[in-house]
Amino acid sequence: MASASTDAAKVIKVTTSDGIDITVDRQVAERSILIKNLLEDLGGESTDEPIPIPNVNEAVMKKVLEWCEHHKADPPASQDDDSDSRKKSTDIEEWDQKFMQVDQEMLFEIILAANYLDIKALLDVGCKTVANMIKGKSPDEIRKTFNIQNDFTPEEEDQIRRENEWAEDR
Amino acid sequence: MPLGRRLEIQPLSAKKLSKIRSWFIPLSNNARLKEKWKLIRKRLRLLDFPDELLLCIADYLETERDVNALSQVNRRLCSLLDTYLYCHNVQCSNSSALVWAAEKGEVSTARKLLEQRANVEIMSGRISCYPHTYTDVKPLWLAAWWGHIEMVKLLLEVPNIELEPRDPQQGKTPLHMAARKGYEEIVSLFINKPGIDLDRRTIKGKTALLFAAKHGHVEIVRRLLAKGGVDINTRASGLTPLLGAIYCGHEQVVEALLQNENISLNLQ
Repeated sequence: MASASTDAAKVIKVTTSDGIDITVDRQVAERSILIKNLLEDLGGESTDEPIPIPNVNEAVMKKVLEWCEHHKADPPASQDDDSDSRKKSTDIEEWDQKFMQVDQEMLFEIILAANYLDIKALLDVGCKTVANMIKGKSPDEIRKTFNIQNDFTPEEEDQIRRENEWAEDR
Repeated sequence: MPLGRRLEIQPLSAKKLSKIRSWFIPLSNNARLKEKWKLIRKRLRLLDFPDELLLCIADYLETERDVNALSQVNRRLCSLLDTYLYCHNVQCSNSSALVWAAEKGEVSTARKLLEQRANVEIMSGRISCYPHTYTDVKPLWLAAWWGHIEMVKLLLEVPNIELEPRDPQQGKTPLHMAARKGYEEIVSLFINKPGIDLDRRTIKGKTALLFAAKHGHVEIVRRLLAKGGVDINTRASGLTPLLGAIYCGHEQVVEALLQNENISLNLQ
């Protein structure tokens, strides 16, 4: 791993949707599979050019990179990690929990950005956080939490409640 | 502000005044407020997520209860998650909802489960059918026990479903249950279904005809006899259909049995 230190020293630039250039360690930025693949496609040559990230603004990008920085030493997610065992666990480590204590809009922005930038672990943490906000709530409480209009007719609502009654205590 | 200090009110400059006035111009005329309103409206919300992300979130809801609650929030979530919920029950909870549907007679619930290829042979576990409690009976059996004719019809349409599942305690089939309880239409469904042995016996040797005769269901007795291939003189615990009907005082059943040419009058 003699070259590790020189690799780690390498920095790259990304340009956010609002036109801001952010300089970041390549190792950190490569938590994003999208950026990693882009850099690999470039052959590691012309990394002086900023990489445009047209779907993510500066505020969100900084937040995402903060997460990447903290998790830069995590082992890369293996492909066969996609099993049920991963999905069942909704435990979120403490640092991530604190990291996700943002307003709803930022939380959703982070999830969209993680999806776009292909950062699976961050996407998972975001989805888990939203799932935890839903757990144990009634449909009406969920509507209030996320400011969603109920667009069912009373008849539709009755019907679906009757058909799905079996699920109410499982 | 320190106590005792008086609030000093400065007269407003003309410029400030006009600025303040501009805030009170109706919304439609005020470009700045309009812009702000647009920003508020544009705020990202949960429902702005694409389906794949909403499904990703649903994956982290551990219970069917929570998925169900989310699916009942509005139409979009319902159309997205209702199928997910039923698919989950079939794939991860061994179609347990079908036991509920068969017991309650909720045909639309059962339809949704069958669309997801539910396991129609799922065992109920311990289940109360007042005043009895049964263990490990199948949906078709439960539907017949409760007399849910539409549910029986639906289940009988499922290819290769076991037509004569028994309860492990007494070995009664759905036909036995329907004959005993007097569900004429359900009995007819079974009579007309190829592949059913109308003379199937319970552990104690009772047949559907014996149940119907003993419990006074004359129409069922007639239909079973009309179909043919039923042993009219069958015996279980010393009782034939005729004896059973006589002991229990079901005159019409006795008449119907006596009209049959195969009836044995040896009542010993």
